[in-house]
Amino acid sequence: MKLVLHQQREINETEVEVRYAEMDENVRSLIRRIRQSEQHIIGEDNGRRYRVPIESIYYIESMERNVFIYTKAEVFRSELRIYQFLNLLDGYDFVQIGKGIIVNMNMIDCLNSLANSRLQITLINGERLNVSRRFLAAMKSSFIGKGDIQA
Amino acid sequence: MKAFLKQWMLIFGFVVLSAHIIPPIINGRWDGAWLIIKLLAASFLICASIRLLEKLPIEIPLLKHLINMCAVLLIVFALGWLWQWYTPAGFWIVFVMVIPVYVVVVLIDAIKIKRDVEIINKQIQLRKRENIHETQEEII
Repeated sequence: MKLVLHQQREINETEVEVRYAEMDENVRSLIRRIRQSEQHIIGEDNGRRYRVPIESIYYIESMERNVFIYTKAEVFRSELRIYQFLNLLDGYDFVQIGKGIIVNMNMIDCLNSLANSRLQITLINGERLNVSRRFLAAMKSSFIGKGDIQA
Repeated sequence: MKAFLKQWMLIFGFVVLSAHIIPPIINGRWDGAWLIIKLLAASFLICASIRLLEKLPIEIPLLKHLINMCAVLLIVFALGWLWQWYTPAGFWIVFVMVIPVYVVVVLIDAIKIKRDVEIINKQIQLRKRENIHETQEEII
């Protein structure tokens, strides 16, 4: 892949133009990452609202009617429900691994099949999360290809 | 190959169902169709019970499989008793029918999961490599 950078002081917003011959998984992945890099969601911590960049999210978990957003060092609460996050993050590098848990695919270090026939992912910060077997097929298809992205 | 086998078995299932259920609907003679309907009901109950048992937080795999197998045996015994699939003296036939099928299904499932885990891990490694390349480009 060829990377061309142009500095134009007169423009207010950074522009990214992707030229490609075929819309393959590499291009799709690139587009997802570009989109993900500038988007954010609102999270609450101690009554204060924060803009949480999507790319900094490790995982989102629903626990007892509350939804928490986990980043490297912080945890934010959200008023959104898991299904709303699933809609919101459709097209981004996120995958559902359980009924109430969505993980950033770029934060996964590895997937392990444990001796007790359970599945577990290890995140890049060493944290471990259980994967429901019901979501394994969806997880596999998310990693192989997330489908077509509108250019 | 896997997709072909899946499609084959699915078509086979539909062919068996339509061959045994559509003629009775037309000619009103259900004698031959009942066995298929009973088998359909039995397999539904087996699938539903395994789905329900999956929700139990059992950490020991052997115990989990033992409970699943007992549930399947119980369903087949109950339905077999209800629909007279076996004689009191020949109850052991249920074990012969259920245990090998259960073991084969568990083995196929384990192989499939192992393969899926390998594929996903390969993709994770590819992503990591891409991330490293991007970071190096940024540094340059």
